[in-house]
Amino acid sequence: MSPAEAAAERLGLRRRAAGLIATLAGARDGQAVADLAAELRQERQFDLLEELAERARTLGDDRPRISLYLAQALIDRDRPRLGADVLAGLLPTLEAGDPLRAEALGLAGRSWKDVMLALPEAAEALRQHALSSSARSYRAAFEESGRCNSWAGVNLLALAVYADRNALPLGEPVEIDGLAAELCNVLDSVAPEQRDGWHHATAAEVAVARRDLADAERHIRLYLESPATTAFALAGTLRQFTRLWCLRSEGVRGRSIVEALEAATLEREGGHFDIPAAAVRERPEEPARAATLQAILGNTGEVTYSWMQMGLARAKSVCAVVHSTGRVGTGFVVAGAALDPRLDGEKFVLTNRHVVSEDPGEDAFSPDDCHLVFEAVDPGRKVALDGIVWSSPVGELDATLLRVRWEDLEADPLPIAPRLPIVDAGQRVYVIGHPRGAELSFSLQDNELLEHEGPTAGKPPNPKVCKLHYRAPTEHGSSGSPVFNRSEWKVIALHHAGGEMARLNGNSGSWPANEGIWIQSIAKAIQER
Amino acid sequence: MPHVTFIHGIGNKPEREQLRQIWLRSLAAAGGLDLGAEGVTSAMVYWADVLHAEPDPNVAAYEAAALDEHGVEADPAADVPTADSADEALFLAGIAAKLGGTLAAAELAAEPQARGTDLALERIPLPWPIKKLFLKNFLRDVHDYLFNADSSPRPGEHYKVRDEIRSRFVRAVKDAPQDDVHVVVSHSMGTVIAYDCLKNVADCPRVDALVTIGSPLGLDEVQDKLDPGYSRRDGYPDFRSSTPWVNLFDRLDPVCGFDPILANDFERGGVKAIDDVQVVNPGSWRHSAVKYLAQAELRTRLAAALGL
Repeated sequence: MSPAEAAAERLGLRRRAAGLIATLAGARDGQAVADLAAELRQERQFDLLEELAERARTLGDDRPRISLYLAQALIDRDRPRLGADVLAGLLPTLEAGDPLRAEALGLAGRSWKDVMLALPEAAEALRQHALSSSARSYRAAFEESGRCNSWAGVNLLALAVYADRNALPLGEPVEIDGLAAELCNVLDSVAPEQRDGWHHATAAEVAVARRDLADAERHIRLYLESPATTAFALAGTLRQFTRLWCLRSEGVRGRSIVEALEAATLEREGGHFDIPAAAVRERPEEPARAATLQAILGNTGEVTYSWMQMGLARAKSVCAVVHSTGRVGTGFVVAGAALDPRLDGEKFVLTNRHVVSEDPGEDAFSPDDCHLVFEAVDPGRKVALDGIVWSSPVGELDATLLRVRWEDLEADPLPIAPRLPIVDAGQRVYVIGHPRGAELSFSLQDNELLEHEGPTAGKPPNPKVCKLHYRAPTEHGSSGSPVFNRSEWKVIALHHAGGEMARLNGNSGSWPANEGIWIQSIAKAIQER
Repeated sequence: MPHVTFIHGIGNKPEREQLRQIWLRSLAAAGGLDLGAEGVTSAMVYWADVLHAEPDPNVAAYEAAALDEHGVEADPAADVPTADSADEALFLAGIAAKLGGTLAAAELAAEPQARGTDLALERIPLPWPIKKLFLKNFLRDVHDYLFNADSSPRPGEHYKVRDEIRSRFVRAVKDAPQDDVHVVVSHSMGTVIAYDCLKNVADCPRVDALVTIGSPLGLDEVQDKLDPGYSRRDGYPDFRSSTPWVNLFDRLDPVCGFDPILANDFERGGVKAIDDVQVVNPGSWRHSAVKYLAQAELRTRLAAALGL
C-alpha cells in the first residue's frame, strides 16, 4: 500500500469514527462502537478512541471494555493520571480470572508508572505514591496469572530495581535476583511457536536485571528481527530501557544498547523517539561500541548509527523560542547565503510567523518579548533577538527570519537541500523539534512523505508557496521545526501545521497530515523581497 | 531536476518498476546514495520483455545478492543462438572463448549449430550448470542485439531486437528532463546498448555522463559490431558535460574480466578519457548489478556526476 493509500485509508477510518460519534444514540449502537473502537486502537488513533469511548459512556454504555479503551486512550495521550482514575473505577467491577481484569491491572501499572516518570524529582511523596501504586498493580497482575504473566513480572522487576537505585520505598519488598531467575524460567518454558511479540523484549529486560548485557544484546537483536516489532513497540521498549532501567548511565555497553535501539527505532517506518536535551548536549565523544552495534543491528550497524548521530548533531542547531509564558515554538539556524546571497556572512534563525511576528494584530509573539534557548548547546543561556529580517504571512509561507545576537554561542547553520525528495515508494522525511510537555527534550520522528507541490509534478495553487505533506503515527511536531530529507539530514522544509489538512496541488478533500513549507520557496521569496 | 536513466543487463528480470526500485534500494542501502531523497528522478529502460515472455516473479531472490546462485542472471530455457553465418559463428566463438574458455570456443567454432556445449570459467567457484546457463544467456542476448535478430516473446508480438531496444533507450533519453543533469547508469549488456545509442543513433540526445558497470565493451567482438560510430581513436561519445565516462569492473566478473579496461579502447581524439575503476564485489558471483550498485566508488562518482 502506498503512503497516500494508507493515509486515505486512515482518513476513511477517522471519518467513520467522527460520523459515529456525531450520531451515537445509545445501546443500539453497542456493536458498532465496539468494532470501531477496536479498529481505532489498532491504528493508534487515540484522540478519536478517547472521544468515542467517552461519548459511549456518557450515553450509558458501561461495558468494561469501553472503559478500558478510554483508559488506554488517556494513557497514550499523555494523561496517565486520568487513565488511572478510570481504571480505579473499573477494577472493583472485574472478577479475578476475567481476562479484562488482567488487562486493566497491566494498564493501571503502566498509568502509575507514567505518572511517576512525569513527576519532578522534588515531588518525592507523589513519586513514592505513584511507584507503589504501579508496583501493586503489576504485582496483582503477576500473582493473579499464577506468576506466569512475564510482562507484568518484568515491570515489577524493573520498578524494584528503579526503587532500589533511587532509594524509594516500593511497598511490599521484592527479592530482585530471585524474581529475575524466576522470570528467566517462565520465559524459557514458553515454546518458540507460542512466544508473543514481547517475548524477547521482556527477556532483554530480565538480562539487564541480571547484568548480563551480552544476553540482552542477543534478545534485542531477535526482538528487532521480528516483523511484529513495530516502531511504536520499539519506542515503548526504548522508553523502558532509558527511563526505568537508566541504561544510558550503565557504562559504555549500556549506553551502546540504548543508542543502537535509538538508531533502529528511527530507521523503522514511523519511528520516533524523544531524547533529553542533556543527552544530546552531553553525548560522549566516544562512539557506541562497534561490537554492540553489530550484535544488535547487524553488519550495517555502524553505518546506521553514524546516520543517527548526524541527526543528533543537527539537533544542536535547533532552538526553542521562549516567551515569558514558556516555550512557544521551535526555530533553527540557517546561513544567510543559503537563502539569499545578499545575506552572506551572517547566520539567522528561521521560525513560523505564527510563532514570532511584529504585527500586533496577529496571534503571535513579538520579537521584543521572546528569546531563544539552544538546549543542546547551553540551556542556561537566553539568546536575544535583534529584530525580524523578513517575514511572510501565515496564509502564505508562514515564516519569519530572525536576526540574532549570537555573541559567542556556537550553533552551526543547517545544510539546505536544493530539491525536495521524489514522492516515491517509501520516501521518508524527519522532523526534529521540541515536543509538548514539561521536559526539555528533542523529538526525532520519521514521517512518510505523502505528496508535495514542488518540481516536477507539483501544481501549487499559489506558485510562490510550495508545501509538502508528511505523516507520523503520533503527533509530536512543533511549529518552526526543521524537516529533513533522509540522505544527509539536509533541511527541506519549515514545519508549520498538523492535523486535518486540505490536500495539495489543488486536489479536493483533506486528510490527516503534517504540513511544511518548502525551504526553497522561502529562499526565493527572500531573494525577491 | 537531475535525472538518472538506468538500463539493465542480460537475462530475464522482475517487471520494470520493481527492477527500478531494486536498483534504487541497492544504491541507497547502508548509508548509500538515496536518489529519491536527493530529489533525483529516475527511469529504467526495460528490455527483458523483448526476449522473455513473462517478467521474473522471483523478486526477492534477484535482490538478495548474497544468494549467489540466484544472483546469476540466467534463464534456464535459454539456448546458445544458432549461427546463421560464418560472421555470427566467429562472433559467438570469440565471445565464448573469452567468457567460457578455449574448449567451448573450439566446439562452437567447429559446430556453428551446436547447442548446450559445456563451457567453463574455472576461476569462478560456481556449479558448472550455472556457469553454462549464464554463458548461454549472455551469448543469446548479446548476439540477438548486435545481429538485430527476430524475437517473438509472446504470441502476436514480433521484434527486431536491436531496433526495438534502441528505440526504447532513445525514447527514455528524450523523455528525461532536459533542463538539468542527466546520467545514464548501465549494466552488462545494457552498457553495450547505451553506448550504441549514444554513439550510433543520430537522434539520440546527448547526456551529461555515462556510468558502465560489468561491461563487455572491452571485447573486440563487441566493438566490431558497434560501427559505424566506433573507432579506437574516436570511440568516446559526445557528452553535454566534461564529467568523464566512469567504468567499474571486477576482475572476477566473467563479463568484463577478460578485458576490463575501456580507456584504451574508447579514446577521445586519441586521448584516454574513461575513468576505469576496479572494485571487488563480495561472494562468488561478481557480475550482479546490485553488488556494483553497493560499491562506494560508484556511489561517490555518480553523486559527483549529478552535482550532489
